Amino acid sequence: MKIAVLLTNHFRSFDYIKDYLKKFWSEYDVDFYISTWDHDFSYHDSLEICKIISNTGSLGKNDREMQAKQDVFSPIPQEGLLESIKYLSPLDFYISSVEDFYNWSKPYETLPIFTDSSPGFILNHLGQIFSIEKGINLIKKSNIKYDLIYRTRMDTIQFTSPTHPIEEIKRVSSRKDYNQTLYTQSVRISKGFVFLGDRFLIANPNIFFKFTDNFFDQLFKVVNSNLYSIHDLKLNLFTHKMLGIMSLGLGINVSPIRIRDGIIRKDHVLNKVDLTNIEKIKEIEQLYLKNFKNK
Amino acid sequence: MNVCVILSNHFRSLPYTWPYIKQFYGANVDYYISTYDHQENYLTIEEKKQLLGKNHKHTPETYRERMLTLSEKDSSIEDFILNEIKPVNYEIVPQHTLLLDLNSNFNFLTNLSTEQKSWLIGPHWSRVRAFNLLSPQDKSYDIIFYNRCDVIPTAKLTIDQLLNNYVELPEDSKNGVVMGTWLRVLKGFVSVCDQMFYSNSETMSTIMSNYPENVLELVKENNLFSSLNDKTVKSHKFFGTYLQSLGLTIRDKKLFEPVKVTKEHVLSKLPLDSKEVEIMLRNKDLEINFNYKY
Repeated sequence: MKIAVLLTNHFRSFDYIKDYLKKFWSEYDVDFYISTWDHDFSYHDSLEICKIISNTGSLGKNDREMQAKQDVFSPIPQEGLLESIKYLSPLDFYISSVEDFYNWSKPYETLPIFTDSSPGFILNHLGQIFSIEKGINLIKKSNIKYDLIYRTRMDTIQFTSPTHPIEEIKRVSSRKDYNQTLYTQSVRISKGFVFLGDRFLIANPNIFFKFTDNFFDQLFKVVNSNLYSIHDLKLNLFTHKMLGIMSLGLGINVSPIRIRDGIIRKDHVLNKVDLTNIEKIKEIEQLYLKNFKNK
Repeated sequence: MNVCVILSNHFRSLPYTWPYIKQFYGANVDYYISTYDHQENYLTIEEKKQLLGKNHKHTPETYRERMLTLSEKDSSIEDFILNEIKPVNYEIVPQHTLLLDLNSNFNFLTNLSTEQKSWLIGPHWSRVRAFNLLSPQDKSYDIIFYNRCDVIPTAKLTIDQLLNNYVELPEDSKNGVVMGTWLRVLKGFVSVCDQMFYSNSETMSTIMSNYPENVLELVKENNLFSSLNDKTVKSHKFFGTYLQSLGLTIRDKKLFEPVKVTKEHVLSKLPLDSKEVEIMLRNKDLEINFNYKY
């Protein structure tokens, strides 16, 4: 099975986990692709988050432009960024700037959900999808025939327990709808909105190409449907719901799959957590979420 | 806590599964049931093969017609309801009541035969009728379970634990939450298991009210769901899309797993009180499939 492992979104803890990732995928026929940003965003430990929240009222739901003033954006020295990326020897990579995003997102400003929205609001909603799209385009451009695209975040590691993700994929590959299905960690419906887990997305390349080929048209079709006119589309949809909306528009299957992974946060890095110690990773994550929730 | 169970659709294996269902929900539960006056599609695979013939092509209509040849009015259904289930309220309806409804309200789904329309909307129609058997004062139950007649609610948890799972939801998020079993997206449709679910009476009322207006609005008015005219859309997709259109939240924590008990299970006298059998049923190890191609 030839696999394209696509790492996307913000850099965050990538430097700490890159060695783990390299070893983790080494037994499989894998090519890496990376699509990331030239800056970091919201990479903080629990204490820093508490401080930001008490200054701004919330984190993530506020306008990014306002957050930028609160040092939520942080520049990454380009030399270090390139060095880290190249450690995985990716076949190709793309480093985006916020300006790139604004150029890309111009047509989306006409969508009813974004009318009168600031560019920062649109960035909050579509930034992650933009990063994924850039990555998919790298794979498409390569003209290499992959059996699978495994898209995950730059700050996330996969575990071999209970099974290696690829073994789990092999297990479900006998299902008749396997090639038409996008696998993710969770599928939910929240107040009428389909909500997809965004830590990983795994599918046959054609499913991903569908996403990138028709992105605007499909998004336009779905957000203009009567189904969503009954809800307040000015709600913060963010990536999870955007992905859910897209899956409806594209007419694909989405199914949860039993793959275990974990986001490695700044708290993990500061605690110098052993990346093979799942229990410890979980313990720090729980503490982080508790602090986040309490605020 | 005041709890009731509404049962609907064809009766099928209910006489066999009733002791299990009764034990699962416990003694302090009220029952309401809306079912049909005959059995339909309650055949073993062998019976189906003999009836339909391996090499014969059928349209959905001839398929149904042949199925109905073994579906005579069954007077034992009412006896069982009165003597064993002893519901607070019940009704037994002839099949043509559903067909009349489908033909009058959904005749614009021109691509679908009556049979296909009944697969799409029939389960919800029967469910709504069962819910309407509750009087206005009955509708204030704390929790209402929906359970299809031929399905048993296997669960790792007891009924009290299932109830607590709902009770423990944050107060501000209780309304509009449906406790379900599985959901996924299939060909762009939210697909939710419609064999068993539960919620508070307000949410259940949202699901069951305004038939057929809510359904018509969904099917007719929504450009996304113009493909409900599509033959591949059946009741799980319909139900998921319907809940979504109502703006509800579905929790699928795999707390329970409804399992369809087939005629094969009944004839083999499968001991449903055995934990081992329950686990095998839940894991679908005893499932027998028959996919007849038209």
